[in-house]
Amino acid sequence: MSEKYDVVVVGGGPAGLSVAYFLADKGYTVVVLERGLEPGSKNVFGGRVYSYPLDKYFPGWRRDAPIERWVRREMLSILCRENMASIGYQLSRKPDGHDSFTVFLSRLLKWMASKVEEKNVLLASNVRVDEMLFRDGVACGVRAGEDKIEAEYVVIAEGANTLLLEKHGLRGRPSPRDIAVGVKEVVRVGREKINERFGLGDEEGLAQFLISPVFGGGFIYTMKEYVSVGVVYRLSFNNHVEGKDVIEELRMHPEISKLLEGGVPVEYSAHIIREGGYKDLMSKPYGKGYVVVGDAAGLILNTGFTVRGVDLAIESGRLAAEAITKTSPGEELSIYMDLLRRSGIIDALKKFKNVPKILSNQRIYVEYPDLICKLLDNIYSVDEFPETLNESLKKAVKGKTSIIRLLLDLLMTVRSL
Amino acid sequence: MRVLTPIKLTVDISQLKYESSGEPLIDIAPRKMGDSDKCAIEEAVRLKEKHNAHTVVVTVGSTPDHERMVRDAYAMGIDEGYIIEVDGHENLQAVNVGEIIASMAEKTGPYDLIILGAGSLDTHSYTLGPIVASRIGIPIIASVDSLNYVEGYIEAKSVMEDGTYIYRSKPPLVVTVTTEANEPRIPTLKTILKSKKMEVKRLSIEQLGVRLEKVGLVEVKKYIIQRKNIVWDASEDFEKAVDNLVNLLVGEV
Ligand SMILES: Cc1cc2nc3c(=O)[nH]c(=O)nc-3n(C[C@H](O)[C@H](O)[C@H](O)COP(=O)(O)OP(=O)(O)OC[C@H]3O[C@@H](n4cnc5c(N)ncnc54)[C@H](O)[C@@H]3O)c2cc1C
Repeated sequence: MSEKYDVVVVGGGPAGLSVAYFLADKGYTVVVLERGLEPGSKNVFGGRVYSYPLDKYFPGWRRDAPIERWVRREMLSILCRENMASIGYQLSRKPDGHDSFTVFLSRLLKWMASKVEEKNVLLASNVRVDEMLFRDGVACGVRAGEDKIEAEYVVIAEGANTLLLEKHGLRGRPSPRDIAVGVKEVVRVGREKINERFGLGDEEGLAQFLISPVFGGGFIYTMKEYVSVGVVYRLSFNNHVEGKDVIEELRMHPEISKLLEGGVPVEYSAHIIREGGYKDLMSKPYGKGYVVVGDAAGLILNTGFTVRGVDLAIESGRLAAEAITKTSPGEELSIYMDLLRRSGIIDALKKFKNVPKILSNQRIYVEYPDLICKLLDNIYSVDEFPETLNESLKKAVKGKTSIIRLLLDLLMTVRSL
Repeated sequence: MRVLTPIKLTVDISQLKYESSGEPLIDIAPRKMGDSDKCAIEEAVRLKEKHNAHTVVVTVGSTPDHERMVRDAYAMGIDEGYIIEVDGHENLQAVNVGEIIASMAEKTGPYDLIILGAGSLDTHSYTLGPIVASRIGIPIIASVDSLNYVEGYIEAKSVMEDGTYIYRSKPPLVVTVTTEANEPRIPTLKTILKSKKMEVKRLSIEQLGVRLEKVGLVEVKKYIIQRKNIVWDASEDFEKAVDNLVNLLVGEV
């Protein structure tokens, strides 16, 4: 005997939970299968979520969601060998539109899971789905171990590592060039020290994007009592470094170690990030009886300054739910793609389609940061006889790269961001 | 046959982090069911499969983690589960927990067998089984590595340093099992889904009529290893320092 539900969702991340939430709301019987010990135990992310989808779909969420701090301070920093060059932007009050907040994804997912369970969704953790089941070309359920579950619709929300989709030939293996590894550490620093060191009020948070010639990109987010620091490095050009070493590198940087001094690392995690951008988006994230949502479908936006995955995961989950309500069992769920297009998500991904090219350009991460550091170093180390900016620049560039090339890269960067 | 298995939510010590001063960060450590508790459940479920036993679990404390733990027990095959609501469950001493479990067993029982994990992951006091047995007034076989039910007797084997002991006793009795007893089963999709639909029963300590003894922990002393603090300077004569070290170690043996 196998059990039968209207919908089975593979993956209890933000995408899977939101599909379940919206469908249960419409009276569907839904079961979510999650491989981790509980929702949130296997998901990794930096620390910031944009508020707009929650504003739209979870009225009252600001009262009971596990928000850490509201982002009121944005920073972009280049880590020079010992120094740091930053541009900061401070918001003295809530922005007029939607804002963003820092949060532990594990707690946000626990919270979402409780909302989903309130709607009578069956959430089964510690279950790894091994394959999708098809009947006459129509997805009709999944198998986990010896057990099978039948459903009218199957939702694939397995995240960036798309083993299931690849197994069924629904998605190709990404090339290593399009994969980055995110490594994150959470350090307990204490609320007062965080406020003092980062110049924040009690509820105010910082989101900092880092560029380093040593490891590539990185981030810092402040939680109430904790600081989340992480590194995102591309397999294509840092393939000899290990996650643990890069994060160590980051923590040991004099400017960063000052911020974390005395703190206790309480969590370490790593996850792959797909950085293929628009070209990694599934051209057909649906079929007869199934839809693909969130990271698994390639719905993640890296603008070069921030990674946006959770909000797109929630949004795509809602659209997938709508598509299911509008499609009879057994039919192609093509409405889903139309809905994604209409929502503007696809356009947004298209707009940033050149970002991956820039991010995979080593000069952006390695040579130019180095150059900027040298330049600033020349400008700010005051000798008896001052240098003109032009002289400083020439000296910094010397032997590194041609000014023409620099200008070309700059142009390409500006045009794609 | 009716079998009761008390289970405890413990600090997952494998995931414990420490303050730079060496103090453990208990508040943020994840909680999980103790390993020997899982073995106790496995024994209960095997008695259900072989001898049609009715199996019950009970846990003291009512956080969402407790409920999850009871459902995990259901997913392994347990029939019925109770959560005992009490404030400050993490500060209760074994005497109090024993009193609660004994009262619960009397109220929902009688039980032929109470199977506990021998020691919990976090406190490792090995006292809960004996306390429950003496409070109810039934025999106990402690730290058992294998368990059988043969012709109306519980037969239990316990491997000790000086030999293997085999005990036989007529129910009712208490047995505590070690992690050697078995390999606890891993729930399957079907049993997990079933566990989600089962009822978790709740009882308060008032309903059990338990008055908590005023027992408190006076002090926990860290186990401190006395170091000899012998230091040789190896920067001058490395060979000699090595000789010194070797001689010392040989002398210790
Ligand atoms: C280092 C890093 C930093 C990031 N920072 C941010 C940020 O600051 N802000 C932001 O918005 N986004 C960020 N992201 C992206 C964000 O984490 C993802 O976009 C988001 O989690 C995607 O949600 P999802 O539900 O699609 O996938 P996931 O969150 O990956 O969830 C997939 C779930 O499916 C489960 N699963 C997979 N396979 C199976 C199977 N076969 N059976 C059962 N379960 C299965 C997994 O255990 C997992 O729980 C970051 C990502 C990384 C790696």
